[in-house]
Amino acid sequence: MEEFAEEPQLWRAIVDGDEAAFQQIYRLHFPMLYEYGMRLSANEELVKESIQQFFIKIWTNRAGLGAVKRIRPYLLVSLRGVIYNRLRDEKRRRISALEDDYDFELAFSPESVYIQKESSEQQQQALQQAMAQLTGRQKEIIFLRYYQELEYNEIAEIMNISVKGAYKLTARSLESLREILGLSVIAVICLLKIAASR
Amino acid sequence: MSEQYKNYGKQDFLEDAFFLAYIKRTSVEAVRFWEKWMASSPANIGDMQAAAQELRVLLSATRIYPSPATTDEVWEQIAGQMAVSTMERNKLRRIRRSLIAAAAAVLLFIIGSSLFYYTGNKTIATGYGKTLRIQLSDQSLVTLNANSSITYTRRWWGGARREVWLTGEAFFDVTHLKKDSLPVKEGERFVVHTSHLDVEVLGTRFNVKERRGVTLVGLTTGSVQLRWKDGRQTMPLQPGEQASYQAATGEVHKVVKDMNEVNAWKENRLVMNNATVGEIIQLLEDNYGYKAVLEDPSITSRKIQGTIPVKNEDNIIFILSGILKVNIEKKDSLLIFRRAN
Repeated sequence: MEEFAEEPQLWRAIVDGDEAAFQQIYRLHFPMLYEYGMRLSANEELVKESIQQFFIKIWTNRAGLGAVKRIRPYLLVSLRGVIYNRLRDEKRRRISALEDDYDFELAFSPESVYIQKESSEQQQQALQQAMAQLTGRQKEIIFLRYYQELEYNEIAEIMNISVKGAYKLTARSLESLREILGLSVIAVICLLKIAASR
Repeated sequence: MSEQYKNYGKQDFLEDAFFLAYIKRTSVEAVRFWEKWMASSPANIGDMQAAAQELRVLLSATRIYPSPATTDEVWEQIAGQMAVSTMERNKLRRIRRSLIAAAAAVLLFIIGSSLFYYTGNKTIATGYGKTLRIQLSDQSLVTLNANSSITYTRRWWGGARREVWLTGEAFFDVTHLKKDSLPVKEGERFVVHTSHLDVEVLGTRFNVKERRGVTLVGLTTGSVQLRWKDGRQTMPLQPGEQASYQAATGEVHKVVKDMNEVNAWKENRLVMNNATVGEIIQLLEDNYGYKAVLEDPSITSRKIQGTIPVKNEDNIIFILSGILKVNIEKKDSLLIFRRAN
């Protein structure tokens, strides 16, 4: 996804203290930040407060915004930092623990792709369960790469890994997904065939 | 442009932004291009379709959108704090100064309102058919009859005379503050102001009624001094005495009266001892807001005896019609007295 054309201009206006430009930037990016936040933490209040908190921080420190190259990755990495600090404070867990083990809400529904007609609840459940085997990190990188269309270097920055690591993690995530899908889809197709032959 | 895609494998398609735009349908150009490309039956169409299938699975998760209300709500919060942070930067000193001013204002307000609370006047009024008991700051008790009002000081300080202003009717049970045999001090006096005369007491129980230009003061216990506003005379009252003053004529009468009868309204009773129907109708008008219409005006001079419980006015009207042998019709605020057939 391309940056919005007028964005760099708005960004410069913010540095000069233009409140209208700031609100425009907020409104352009709030849906993306809200979705990302809600996937990191299902706690809506926490997400709203986090977005609020770092937008105020951006405004307060707007003099230093000139150094920001791409806005979306900058906003995403900022939000992630705030949410993680809050989650850490809440759960009193160490940073490393958070970085390694967290959940990211991204429920694929491959049945909608593979099975054109309405699939049974049983089939859907089987697929959902299989999908749950993906880790939070795998789902997050898929979200950033395919939903947000960020570059690998941007993903690396957000997820606090190397660019090489970002490539590897994406590849591994797709691999896992294929494996899960391969098995599940075969199972689902079998189920369908059994149902059809009756 | 087509050239480069000839050698694409599945992985290349997966990483291609233009291909992703086709799957996501975010670009008309991309959709047109890839549909045309597929129609040209390229050798690697299998890889392309596998990648498309995989991307569709990747993108199959339900998206999360904030409601417009949420978007606005969070912005309101941010805007609110922006205002604060801007002020913090530029006007910190001014704020500190205005904070001091605000604190001073709050302090003044507290002092002022407590002064008002402790010295300010309060007026309480009753509607038709309602009585009210009020305790004053000196523990004196006032029972306010219907359609009456009283103004008093919220709190009296030691040396000041206790004063209240009355319209209508009230029974006073005044706390006796004089505990010594020294001459009476101002703070020991209690004064009820009415339109024409003041009732001065030390500590007693008495009834004051001012209606239709007639002031009636009936003393139950203790002693009171009546003082006319024009300063022309004072008059002491003994327990069991009732003074009446006609404003129009200046007539003053003092009669011995049964104080149970005078004070009966406090217990929701109406004691009639040789009372005329005219007097009772006046009571109904004064305390309940009725206007009486008499088919036979001569009944006003009839006298009746007895006690009527006045819990509610319908009761009075019912009993009165029985005693007088008339039909009393209630029409809004009109009471129509008709001859019984």
